[in-house]
Amino acid sequence: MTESFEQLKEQYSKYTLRKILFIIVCITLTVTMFWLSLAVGTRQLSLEESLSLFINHLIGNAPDPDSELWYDDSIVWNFRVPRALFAIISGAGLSVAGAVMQSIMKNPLADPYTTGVSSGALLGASIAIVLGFSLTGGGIDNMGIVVNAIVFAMLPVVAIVAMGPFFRQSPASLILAGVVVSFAFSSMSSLLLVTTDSSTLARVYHWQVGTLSEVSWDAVLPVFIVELVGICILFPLANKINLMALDDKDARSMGLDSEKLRMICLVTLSVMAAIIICYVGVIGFVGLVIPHIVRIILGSDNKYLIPASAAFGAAFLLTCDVISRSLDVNASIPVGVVTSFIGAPLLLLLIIKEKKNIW
Amino acid sequence: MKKAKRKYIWAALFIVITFIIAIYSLSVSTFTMSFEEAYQILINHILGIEPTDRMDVIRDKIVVGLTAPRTIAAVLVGGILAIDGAVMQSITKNPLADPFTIGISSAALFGTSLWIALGISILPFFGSDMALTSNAFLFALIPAVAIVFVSSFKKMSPNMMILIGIGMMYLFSASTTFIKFNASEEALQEIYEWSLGTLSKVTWDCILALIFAFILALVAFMIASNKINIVSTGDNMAKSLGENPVRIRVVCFVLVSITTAIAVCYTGTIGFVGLVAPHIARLFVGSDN
Amino acid sequence: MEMNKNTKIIIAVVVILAIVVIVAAVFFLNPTDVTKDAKDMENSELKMFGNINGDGFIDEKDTKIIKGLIDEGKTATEFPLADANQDGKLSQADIDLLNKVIKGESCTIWHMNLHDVDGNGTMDYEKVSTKFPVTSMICTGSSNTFMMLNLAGIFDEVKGASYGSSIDNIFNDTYKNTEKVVKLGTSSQNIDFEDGKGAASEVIKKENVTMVLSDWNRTYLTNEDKFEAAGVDCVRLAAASTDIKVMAHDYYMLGLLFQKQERAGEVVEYLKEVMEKIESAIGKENKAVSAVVSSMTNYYSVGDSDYTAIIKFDGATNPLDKGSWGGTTSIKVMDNLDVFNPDKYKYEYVIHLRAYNAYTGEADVPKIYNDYTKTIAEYWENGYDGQYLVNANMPIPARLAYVASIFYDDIDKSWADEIHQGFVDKFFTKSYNVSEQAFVFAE
Repeated sequence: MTESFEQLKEQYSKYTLRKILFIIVCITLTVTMFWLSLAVGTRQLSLEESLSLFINHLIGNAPDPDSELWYDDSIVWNFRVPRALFAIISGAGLSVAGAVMQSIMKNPLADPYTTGVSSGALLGASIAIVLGFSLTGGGIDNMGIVVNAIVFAMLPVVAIVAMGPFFRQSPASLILAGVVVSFAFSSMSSLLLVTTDSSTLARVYHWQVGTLSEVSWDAVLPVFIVELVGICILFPLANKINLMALDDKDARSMGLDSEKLRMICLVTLSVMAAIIICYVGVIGFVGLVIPHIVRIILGSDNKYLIPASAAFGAAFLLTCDVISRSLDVNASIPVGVVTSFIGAPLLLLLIIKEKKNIW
Repeated sequence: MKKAKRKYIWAALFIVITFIIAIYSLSVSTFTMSFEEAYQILINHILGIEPTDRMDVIRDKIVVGLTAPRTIAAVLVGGILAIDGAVMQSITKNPLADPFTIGISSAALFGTSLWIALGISILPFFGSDMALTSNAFLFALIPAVAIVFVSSFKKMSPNMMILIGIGMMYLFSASTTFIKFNASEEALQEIYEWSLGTLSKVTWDCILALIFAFILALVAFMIASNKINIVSTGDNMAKSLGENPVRIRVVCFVLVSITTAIAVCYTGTIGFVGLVAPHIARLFVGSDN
Repeated sequence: MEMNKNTKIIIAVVVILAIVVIVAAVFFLNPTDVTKDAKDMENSELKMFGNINGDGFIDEKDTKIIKGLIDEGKTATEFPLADANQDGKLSQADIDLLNKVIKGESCTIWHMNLHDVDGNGTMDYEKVSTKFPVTSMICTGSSNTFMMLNLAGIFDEVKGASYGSSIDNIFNDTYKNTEKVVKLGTSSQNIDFEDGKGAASEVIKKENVTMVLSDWNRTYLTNEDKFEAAGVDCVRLAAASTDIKVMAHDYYMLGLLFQKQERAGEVVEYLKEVMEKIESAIGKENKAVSAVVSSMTNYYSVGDSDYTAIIKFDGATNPLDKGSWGGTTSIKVMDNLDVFNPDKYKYEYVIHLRAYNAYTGEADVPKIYNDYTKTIAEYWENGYDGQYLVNANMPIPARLAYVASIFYDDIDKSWADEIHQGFVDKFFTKSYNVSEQAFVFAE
């Protein structure tokens, strides 16, 4: 016997240790970036100042409106803190959604927007901004746009689920259905946008670009709840999702109803993605590439892939947001631009260096 | 033999239908004009009869200078995009591929937005009339260059090509987003229109280049059609038949890039044609390239 | 069919969630105070509470009248304009507030903002409060806003502005000077509050900014609430208006807030004089001029916009208004060639109202003219004849005067030059000779 049972156990625990270590590193990075992010922004505050303001406010010691510190405290507490929290939550949510999407669709090109939620949301926002018609009936203030976007973002999901019984629900046909629905909705938006004047178009465009600069406290709670619920639904299913890599028939022989699981996961992650779009627009790249990067480092086991994607995604998006605010440019940089600029070369590098074939 | 004959009949039928629609479209324009008026103007122009009064000059300009090249361009560009789409779908073995899949559209859009929003032109000595088209054209070629470069030292599987293309697409699209986010509203609207694709800027100067691209695509890919068929069955199969799948893929991709770039630089990225036309054609004539 | 039941449950949950969000949103919505006081404010030259006599100033005349109302036991419901501190009653407190205003001591005043609150494209009145007086402000910088501030003599108080690239060079020493005025981004309509570098929160703290000035359109300063929450009051005026009543309010308001009432009075006096001149010159004419106006290259404007307002004021009709263009206010001519079809639309003039540096003479005007008119000249029956380039950076009445001189034979360009020169001589910081520069150009 060249390898004893103990040696195997040791190797296996090293293997899992590496993965847990990765998750811990990501979480540490996230926390560090959180503190840093409180000091970054237009209003020049040093790290000590912003930290002390934050901690004071947290323990209930907020300055009153007449004091010198009130303004800076509101900058930190009402702008930077919710923004950082939102980045963490949505980074985690989008990455998990992307990881699950890629697993259930068995397609490396899938991301959380593949079912067409982003086109649906865009149509909702376009209707609200261009036509001034919103489901809350109250003109085109921001709440009306968000509500419109959420409701319309659900339409593609409902459409795909409703169309389910009518065709084979293999991953390929689901993707095709998503593409078709996506095209349909985006051509309807295009029709609205191409006939309107440039300032309305600009307004819709600014809504659509993924940027965290408009995040306030009332965005944080709903998104936090949805993402948490979503992750709590998806994580326990990790073992079953692993099985989805098999053919549907093989999976069935192991007791798994692939079609049902696929639908549940699809709806869950679409809702997770949709709620983020409706508040901050489409932040691309995170859902597509973070899972890939994590897979290359840790392998494809969803039990670790999901939490690792969440941790890495949170750290990544928060870091990108901090970078987008600290660049000394007189223009605003949407966070999606930074994620692409950092992530794309990273991904290319990993692909080119990669020896084993993940896909 | 019967099957092959049927396919040729279908192909001929499509060409005839295109011809008929093209003739009709010559009379359609946003300038209200009747069928007969439009043809009278065309015939006069062909016969060399000069229009006399001011309004006739204008009508002549519209029908001959705007509508006619637009019709011809529509046929040519549609053909180019569809051929390129069919080839892309075969060499990547992915039914969702289209000529823009590997970053061509994002690259071209980036070049366009550089000019429209920032006034930066890659070839300044061509003057501002050509700036938009030259920017779009040159940038559209970058993905091809990158793929050729990478394939020289790394094995290029179809998925690899797609992933590299996606990486480039994100880089270009991020840069374009940055430019668009800070651009003036008029610039934003122009860029948006270009990204949807429009034939409204086509003039006679473009037709020559488009004819060239169309013939290049048609002839080159017809000649290579057997090789493309083989590649679409799989790399191992292709190697066992003595073909080099990687080289074929890269060469095809370069040709697709050039012809698509020519089409796109005049019209913008007209989506869907390259994706769906091959599928519809396959319904009638099958998958033999 | 087990699968269908489960998915139906999921769908139902999603729909319920959506409905809950909608209902919550409805409760959250707090529509701003589009007030019933609108009718009383209509005729007031300075639309402020406490300005009971409706003229352009707050002075003893107002306090005397209000004292009289209090003595007669009148209520705020009968005389809402007398309730200066908006507490619902007419009392000594209102008079004390007005006295503070007259002395220039710091307090909070209540007035109307011109703002399209309901999003339907027309100006509404919105009741707001502003800290008085203002010594430090930021603004969204369109050409018209800067010109308005220029005429009102407000320079040093402007600490930050967001503006695009088309702002005239006459402001290079003032509003475009980044050492005095922080550049808050490149949009003339919106300012970020707290983001990366080009946002306002730093300059607000550093310079103790208490006011942000913007325009009445609903697309301007959409994040107004963030400024208000930080203690920066939003004041909205209509810098591009052709209505003398609105113009008067604009300048009287600025004069009051910045303690430059005398200057404001002079500006309004000249405006009234000039607008009357223009109206009587046009009024004599037969209003049969038809013209289109273009504010972007190869686009025609249609419907109600700042640009069409100019030609309409001068008595022209826009033939394009007869057509239906799908809700947009700008028509791309090359996509809508019917605009050149004389059977459908006939017009004598195409006025290109564009921004270029005319005061400093730095613009290559013939080249600009050529660029803008070339394509239209090819397809329009009149070619270049009737196409005029008019500078859009001048004060509004000057624009009206020049366009009137184009439309009507018996109004000479020198008449318009005189009106324009009056603005320059009385209110500009540097002197320019307008008749030497090309504010109007044609082939």
